Parts: sequence; structure tokens; C-alpha cells
Amino acid sequence: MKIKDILLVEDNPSDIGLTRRALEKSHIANKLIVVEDGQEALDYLFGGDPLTDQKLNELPALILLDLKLPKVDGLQVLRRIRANERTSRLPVVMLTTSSEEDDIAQSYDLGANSYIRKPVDFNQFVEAIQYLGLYWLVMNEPAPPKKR
Amino acid sequence: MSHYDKKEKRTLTVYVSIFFLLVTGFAAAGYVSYRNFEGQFHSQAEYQISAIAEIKVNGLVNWRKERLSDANFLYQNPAFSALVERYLENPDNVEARARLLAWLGNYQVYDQYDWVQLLDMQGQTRLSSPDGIPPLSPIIAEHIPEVLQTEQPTLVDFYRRDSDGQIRICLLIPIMDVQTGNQTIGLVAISIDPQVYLYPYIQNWPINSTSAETLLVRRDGQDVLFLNELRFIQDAALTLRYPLTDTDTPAVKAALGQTGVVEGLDYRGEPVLADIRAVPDSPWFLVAKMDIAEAHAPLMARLWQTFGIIGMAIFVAGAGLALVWRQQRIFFYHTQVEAAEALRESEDKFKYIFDYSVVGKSITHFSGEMHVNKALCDMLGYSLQEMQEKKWQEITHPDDIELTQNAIGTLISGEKESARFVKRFVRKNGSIVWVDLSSVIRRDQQNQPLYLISVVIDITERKQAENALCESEEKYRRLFDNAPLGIFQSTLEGEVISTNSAFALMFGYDSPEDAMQSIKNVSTDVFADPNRRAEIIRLTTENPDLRTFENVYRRKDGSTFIGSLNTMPIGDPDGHLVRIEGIVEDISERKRMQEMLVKRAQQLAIVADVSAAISANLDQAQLLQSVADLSKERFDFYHAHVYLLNEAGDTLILAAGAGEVGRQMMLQGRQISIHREHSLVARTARERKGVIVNDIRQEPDFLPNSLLPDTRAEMAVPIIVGETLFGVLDVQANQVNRFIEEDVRIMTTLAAQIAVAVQNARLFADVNFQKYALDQHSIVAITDVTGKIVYVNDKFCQISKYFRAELIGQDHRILNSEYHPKVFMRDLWVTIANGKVWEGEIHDRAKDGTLYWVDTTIVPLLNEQGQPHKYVAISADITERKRAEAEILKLNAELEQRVSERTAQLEITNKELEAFSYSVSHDLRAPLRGIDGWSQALLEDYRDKLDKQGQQYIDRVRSETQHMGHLIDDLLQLSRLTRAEMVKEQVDLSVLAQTVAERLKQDEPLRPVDFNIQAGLTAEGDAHLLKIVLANLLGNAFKFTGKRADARIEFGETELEGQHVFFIRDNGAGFDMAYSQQLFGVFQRMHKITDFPGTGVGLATVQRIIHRHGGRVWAEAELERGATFYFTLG
Repeated sequence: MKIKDILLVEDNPSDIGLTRRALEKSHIANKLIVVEDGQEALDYLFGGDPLTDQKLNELPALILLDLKLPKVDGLQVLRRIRANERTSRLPVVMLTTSSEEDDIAQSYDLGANSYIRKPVDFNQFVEAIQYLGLYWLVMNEPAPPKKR
Repeated sequence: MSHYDKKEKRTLTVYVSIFFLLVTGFAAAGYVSYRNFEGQFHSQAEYQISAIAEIKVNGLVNWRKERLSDANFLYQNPAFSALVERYLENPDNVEARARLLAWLGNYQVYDQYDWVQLLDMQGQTRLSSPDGIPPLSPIIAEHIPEVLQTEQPTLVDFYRRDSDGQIRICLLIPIMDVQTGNQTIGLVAISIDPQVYLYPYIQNWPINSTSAETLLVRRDGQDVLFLNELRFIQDAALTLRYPLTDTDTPAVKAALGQTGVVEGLDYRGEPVLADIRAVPDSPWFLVAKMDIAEAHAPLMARLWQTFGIIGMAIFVAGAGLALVWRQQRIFFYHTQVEAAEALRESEDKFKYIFDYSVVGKSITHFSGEMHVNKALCDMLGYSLQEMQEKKWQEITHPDDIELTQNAIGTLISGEKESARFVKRFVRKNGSIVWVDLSSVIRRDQQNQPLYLISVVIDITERKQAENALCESEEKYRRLFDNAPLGIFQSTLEGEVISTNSAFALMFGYDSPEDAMQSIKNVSTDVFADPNRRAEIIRLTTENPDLRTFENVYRRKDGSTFIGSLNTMPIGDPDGHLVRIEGIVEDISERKRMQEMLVKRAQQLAIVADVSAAISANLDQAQLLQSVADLSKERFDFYHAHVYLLNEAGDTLILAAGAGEVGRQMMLQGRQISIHREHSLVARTARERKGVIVNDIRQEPDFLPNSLLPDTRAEMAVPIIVGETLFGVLDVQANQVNRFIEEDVRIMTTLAAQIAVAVQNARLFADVNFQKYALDQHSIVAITDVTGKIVYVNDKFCQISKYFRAELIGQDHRILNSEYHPKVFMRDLWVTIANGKVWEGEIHDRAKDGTLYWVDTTIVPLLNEQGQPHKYVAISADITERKRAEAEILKLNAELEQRVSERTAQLEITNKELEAFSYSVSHDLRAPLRGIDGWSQALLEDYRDKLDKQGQQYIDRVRSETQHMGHLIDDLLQLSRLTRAEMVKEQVDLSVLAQTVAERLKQDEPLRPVDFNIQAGLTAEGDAHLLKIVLANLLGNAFKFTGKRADARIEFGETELEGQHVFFIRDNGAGFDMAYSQQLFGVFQRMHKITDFPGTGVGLATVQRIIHRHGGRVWAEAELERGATFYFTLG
């Protein structure tokens, strides 16, 4: 079985690098696909170019979603993911800097599976990514895809 | 012209003169009043316009200040300058661009600002919000060099935007560089849409008006340019202009620097009243104006009103004078009618005497018409009817016609006043009757003969006796005795030689014999005047035809009476007078009746006079004094006084007495018990009918009064109306037998009038007292059904500031303040017109324009049909109360306004803070994480390329970064605390503290720390926040005891100055109390970071939470001796 991808939606290049590094350090082998704003994320998930008859991308195993994104923000992306039948059961982890209670509450209300605040200390960050990978990619039994 | 006509004409002239005087007076008063009002009104209208203009100008100045302060926010904002600098240096800096857009966007959201642009030094638009707005207007571009030179925010005045022709004002703000702050690096242009706030503010006129408006102008070259939209012309802003030479226009006057209230023609050519003034610190001039026609409308109304009042006053005066004149006329005719009535009565009396006399009498007019009495008819055997149709010639014996005609001729010619002769009449049955006929002639004022009055005595028998000489003495005696007339014959010397029984009876003698014996001399015993007999003899001798005299006779008892005398001289054959026969008829009764009639008429006239005098008097004391004085004087009494019955009905109290005596008796305070036996006054009161005592000496009960020594007779009548006895009118005379029953009737009539007057006076006094009481307390007005004021009291005049004369006859609307809606007044009128009482509060306007409030009750007075015919309004002044109420409402409104403004400001601040925190949490932490992460990566990946020192540096970078991270987190928490909603509940602080302590111990399990937490401490508060407080305070205690082997931390409660206080005490490092002031400030630290790490935010957080709970936090400490933190909660 092919190892599914991890989709990282993040606009800060530094954070992208660090996340990639953290994943590597945690020995998570899944391919990391990075999109840099909300619109790209939606395009990746629901895209498919009708003109070129491009096929839909395969759904990732896990989506790491930042809250503050250019164009379409993280909460909006989450809402769209949950609203679509195909993606409604995808594990989405909010990976963000904000510790605002409002953000946390809204994320869970919209169906985020987990909310992780990126710590400043890189070691702690690595730790968090490790737990994340361990939990969502290894221990968690993914929901079966919905039948069309 | 008669005397009466003349008098009447004179009176009329007086009335007409008074009328014209009044007319002149009213006109003058009206003129003065109107001029006065006109003056007041002018200054009022001008004051109003000036006040509005001043408010507007202040508003405009404030508006400009606000705009410049908006500008200053960006102008002196280093953060913003830094952003601009960064962006202008590097337009590709996405982050700077985004944040600039956010700043500009923030500005643009204000409704007044329709776009915000960032310009570079070349005036090119570099950023704008909203996106994609048209390029900068050249008008603004012109101003840029000026702004760059002054380096101050500048307002570019009204201009038309090229792109769409919209009118805008532009705010140009220079942006200075961050380092030096004195070099301009760019500009921000903010476009203000005047339609949003400015135009509506200018156009808004605070009072209802059909023509008033405010306009804003500025000088534009040799023109004045209108800047705002006008009320009467479309699209006038920045279009309409007038040359400066057009100085009739207020706008031009304003632009030429004139200020104050002026009159002129506005842009429509209408004459207007305007207040013009410059708007300080601006090129603007403000014109607040109103059409003169509107401003002066109330003046015209006032003019008509004044005409109305004067007209009405003249009418009322004319009508009043006419009424008085008419009353006089009525009185005059009334007097005439009464005189005629008296005359008629007198005539009746005469007719009675004429008709029923036993002596034949006739009145013969020269027309031949003849009136006769019954006696004459009987004498001649005709009926009255038959006699009326006869002429004297027809009944006269033919032989005597000539004789009669001669006698009449002497009378007509005036030779004689009376004639007496003997003649014969022919009876109906043809027999002849001898008569002794006496005639007098009556003439009119021109001395023309009117008629003859004749007395006819049948002397047939005497004649027969004389002629026949055979009449027996007996026969004569019978005639003599039976005659109803006193007949006597006397000698020349005065001895009575024969009389008849009628004479004896008439003169009070027992018999004719008694008379003959008793009368020694006729001159003294028969005539009252001893010279009278001689005079009569002389007169008859000189004039044999004169036979009838009226005399006063003396009776046997000395009393007198009046009688007529017919004398007949009896001569001897030689023609010498030997004796005189006299026939006496007692006419005293007739005289007495005549006199009584006259007296009665006089007395009734007096009664009428007294009644008239007193009925107009509503003061009881004065009234009774008039009664006493007038009665005494007019009836010629010795004394008159009035007693009034007291309320208990048991005592009569002297209420008034005539003259000085009356005054003295009043001073004595005379009272008579109604039950007193021997009192005429008391008896009259008890019996309720008049009593006469005609000779007090005969009255054993009479009590003499030393003040009235001459009283001889007394009469008292009750003063009574219906069943009610008011008192007694007592009059006294100084002669015996002064009073007769007739007097009782007269005085009773007077007493009845007095009673009515007293009743009226008492009613009036009662009503007056009630009215007085009401007037003292209330504002009273009475209107008729149409709302015309017919009465106002002093208080009403006082509050309304009108004179009474100005109000009477006016509509109640004279006081209308136009405060109440029409439906309010309609409701009022409907209520009272239906006969119901209306109560409410009315806002009225006084004459001088001041407004006042009255709490009013309007009571409709109903007539017999139940329809209101008058409305009585009773009010109390509640202006002060209303003012206080309004003041409170105003204060409340202001307070609410302030609270809501403050709340709105706070909300904005909170929002800004929130946005700030949000960006901090995201944007500040992300780079830190990068620094930390990449440092770590450097260390991991290039460890072999770094020496020990390099590695240490990297560790240092990481630890600083992480410290910064903590700082940010703590700050975020602190700011969140301020915003977080508090959920208050009962919190067990002991449990919370225990939890915190456990966690601290877990962090450093090897440290021996003695936690001593008092159990069961509870407080009202937010559990989450209180936990943060305890975590900070206990955490601090834990931290600062870190270097002690016997660390001891205590949490408990104590009482200080009667208040429950929580405390956390430790024996740690403590601090110097000298610095305790800074203890709770953000980033304030007491220790070196190498000794005790920390961010310096914890205690600030604690303080904020405690304050949010309404509590207090403070500390006591000593260096190296530990610290105690106290806090209260609410």
C-alpha cells in the first residue's frame, strides 16, 4: 500500500522548512506536500482542471492547516473540507501560532480533529510533530472513505 | 325743548365724551403695547439666528479639529512612518504592503472618508483603499508642494473631483521619516465626503422653519462661492457664485468680513434676516438666514391681535356706556310713571268724594258737557245716564236761565272766582226744586276757563218755608237735625243760637243743646283761629257771592279738624245783617287721606331710595350703617338702629346705629337676649311682626336709654326673608303717637329689603372668602364657551405677565406656547365641552415669551340644560418642578450619551487591542520560532564547524528567543484578561491553591517546600482568573524561596481594618519596600534575571485580575526576609 501524503497548508517559508525538518527528525516518511495559501489548498483538494481533464489529487492522510493564510483563511478551508462529502472525514490538525481561545473554539466547532499551537522552542516543536505523526499516522485508525 | 330733553342731551354729551376718551386711551395703549412687542420680537429673532449661527460655527471648527486630529494620528506615528518607509523603499515587501493596507483600510472605514491613498514624494499613488481608485485630482496635486514645505497636515477645501464630479474635501498628511523625524518621505491623502456628515450638519436647522437655512461660502477671486447644497436651489454647491460687488447679498457681506445680524436679499432675491460670521481657522464664512416674511409673521399676527383687542375694548366701552345711559332713562320714566300713578290715585279720591258726597255736585265744561254726582241726580230725579246727556239749560227753570247765564258770565270774565245764587231746577217729574248753588271756575295755565265746579244744595223746603211762612218749627228742626252737615246760626257777637245734631256730633258735643250752652263765642270755640270768623264776615260783606271757606275747627275736647264752611248771611228786613248761618262739612278725613297718601308715597320713595342705596352694598357693616343713617334721616326719626340675630339664634347684637349715638352704643357692644321679657326688640324677634309703642311712658316695660333721653315712641320690625330672621330694625321718635300701623307696613317693607341685602352681603362675603382663599393659592381664570377669557385673578396676571385688561376678552390661546400637539388641546376642549372636568399639565407662554408650566383643573359650569356656559380653570405653577424634571432628564440623557460614547470608545480600543494582540501572537512569534528552529538546525547540522564558543552563542540565541516567546505569551495572557468575560461564582480558593502547589512541587520534586494552605477559603469570582492569580503568587513564592533550604509558603485569610484579606506569605528573597511602587507594573522586576528568571508580567496580571474583581492587592516585604502579598476580592 502506498504511503499517503501529508498536506501542509502554510505560507511562512520558515515554518515550512521547520515543519519539514521536524517531520524528518521524527522519521515520518510520508511525502509532505506544501501549499502556501488557502486557495491553493482548496485547489489541491477539490481541483481537477475540467479543461485538461486532469484527475483529482489523491486525498492526503493528514492535513496540517495553518489558521492565518493569504486569500482564503484556515477556518474557511476547514469549513469547505468538512462541507464536502469526499473530504469530510479527513483528519485535519490545526497547526498554528495563535493561542486565541476564539480561534481554538471556532476550529473545533468547524470539526478540526486537533489543535496544536506551534511552540517557539524548536525542540518542543519537534516533539509536537513527533506525537502528531505517531498519533495520526500510526495509531489512529482512519475513517473509511465514504462510498459515492 | 323741555327741561327733560335738555338734561338728557347734556347727559348724552357727557357719555359720548367719555366714550371718545376711552377710544383714544385704548388706541394709545394698543399702539404702545404693539411697539413694545415689536422691539422685543426683533431682538428675539436676531438672537435666535445668532445663537444658531454660533452653534454651527462651533460645530464646524470642531469638525475641522477632529479631522486634523485624525491626521495627526498618522502624522506623528513612528510605526506607520516605518511601514511607509519600508514599503516605499521596497514596493515588493508584501508584508509591509499588507500592513499598510490594513492601516489605510482602518481609516477608510470611517464613513466620512471614502478613500485613503498613500502617495510618494512625486505625488504618485502607491497604495489606496479601497483598491483601484482613480488617480489624484490635479487640485490636490497643486497642494502637495505646500504640504511638503509646511510639513503639516493640511485640509484641501471643497473641490470637484475630476473623475466623477463629486464634491470632496481632502486631508493631506505628510509622513516623516522614522530616524530624524524631519524629512518627508511620503504623503497620505484622505478624501472626505461632505454629503455624509458636513452637509447634513450645515443644512440642519434646529427649529421648525419654512425658510431658514445655513450656508457656507468662501471667497473665490472676485466672487463669493457657495460651498454647500442649498434649500431652494439644486446643485448649487461650488456652482453658485456672486460677484463681491453684489453687496446686498448676506453671503457677499460675510465674505467681505462683515459680521453680526444683517438684512439683505438672498440668492432667490427674497429679503432675509441673516447672521454672518467667519469660521475661525478656515476660509469659510457661515450665513444663517431666515426670510424676513417668516421671521416677521408673528409680528403681523400681533398687529391684527392688537387691532382686535382695541376694537373689542371700544365695543365693550360703548356697550357699557349705552347700558348705563339706558338705565338712567328707565329710572327717569319710572319716576314719571310713579308720579302719574300718585296723581291718578288722588283723582280717584276726588272722584270718590265727588261721587258719594250727599251734596249735589256738578262739573260743567264749557263745551256743555256735564258731570254730576249721585246726590244731584237724586235731587233732580234723573238717572246718572240721563243726566250725562242733559245740558244745564234743559234742566234749569226757564225763568232762571238768564240769571244763571249772568252768573256764569261773571265767572268767565274773571270778575269773580266763585258765584253763589239761588235758582230753580225742573225735576224729571216736572216739579220745581229750589237750590242754593255755589260755583267756582277752574282755569288752565293760560288762564282760559276750563270748567265750573258747582255745589248744589236743595233748599226747596227752606224756600217753601220761607215763601209759605207756614212751615212749622218741627219741620225745620227735622231738616236741621237730619242734615248730614253741621248747621249753626250765630249772632254777630258770636253766640250760637241754633245748631243741629250733626254739628254737635261733628264738634264733639253731647247734643245741640250742649253745644249751644258750651260755645260762648264762635270765634274762639268753633274756629281754631280766633280771627278767622271776623275775616270771613269781612270777606262775605265785601263780596256777598263768596260763601265757601275752608277752615280749621276746634272740637269740644280741644282737638281740631278741617272742614268746609258755607255761610249765609241773614239780614233783617232793613237789610242789616243780624245773624249768620253756617254749614260745616268735615273734610278732615278727606284731607287726612290726601296727606296720608302723599306721606305714604314719600315713605315708599324713601324705602325705594334706601333699598337702592343698600342693595348695591355688599359689605354687611356698611350696609347696616347706611340703613340706620338713612332711616333716621329720611324718615326723620329720633333714632334708628339695627340688631342682628347671632348664629345660635339666641341673642340680638347691635349691628348699626344712626349717627354719633349709634356709634357710642356700638362701642358699648349692646346685646339683647331673644328671651328677654321686657324688650320691644326681643319681642319683635320672637313674634316676627312689627310692634309699636306710641307712648313709652305708658309702657311699664320700657327701659330708658341715657343716650336717647328724648325717646317718646318706638317701633320695631323684624328683618326677615322667608322663614329666616336676620334681626330687628328699631326706630324711635321724640313725640308721642308718632307711629301708625301704616308705618309698620312701610318699615316691614324696608326690613324685607334689608334682609335681602344682608343675605346677599353674607353670601357675597362667603363667596368672597372662598374666592379669596382660592386666589391666595391658585391661578384662576374663567372663560366663556368659546374660550374667551372673562375673568382672571391676580396670580394669573402675575404668572402670565399680562395686565388684566390685556387678557379679558382674549382667547385663551394668547398663552399658547405651541408646545402641545393639536390633539392635546382638542382632547381638552372635547372633555370640558362634554361637561367633564379636565385635569392636566399645560405649558403656557407668558407675555414676555417666557414659558411656564401649570397643573390645571378645568371645571365646566353647567346651565339648567346641563350645557357648559363657562369654564373655570384653576391652576398651580409647576414650572420649577418641570424644570427640575427636565434637568434630570437632560442630565440622564447626557450621562447615557457619555456612557455610550465611552463604551463605544472602549469597544474601539478593545477591538484595536484585540487586533494588535492577534497580530502579535501570530506575527511576532512566527519569526521567533524561525530563529530558534534554524539556530537549532545550525547547531545540529554544522556542529563540527563551530567551536565551543560558537555553539554557546547559538545556545544564547535560542535562550533569548525562547525568553522572548515567554514574554509574548505572558503579555498576551495579560491583555486577554482584560477582555475575557468574567463568570462569577463561588470559588474554593483553598482547593485552587492546593492544585497549583501540587503542580509546582511536581516541577521540582526534589525541593523541600513546606506549603501551608488554610482550608475552606472561598470567594466570589471567576475561577479561571483566580487560578491565574494563585498560580502567579504561589509561583513567585515558590521561585523566590528557591535558594532557601527551609522554604515555607503560606496561604490564608486574615482580617485587616474590618475587611477579609487573603494573603500568600513566603520566607524567600523578599524585596526592598522602596521599590514597592513599581511592583505591579508590566516588565517590572525586582531581581536580576540570573538570580531569578521571569518576564515581569506576572504581578501586573495579578493586579489586573484583582482589580477586575473590584479588589485590591499590595505587598509587604523585607530584603532576604520574605514577602507577603495581600489581596481582597470585591
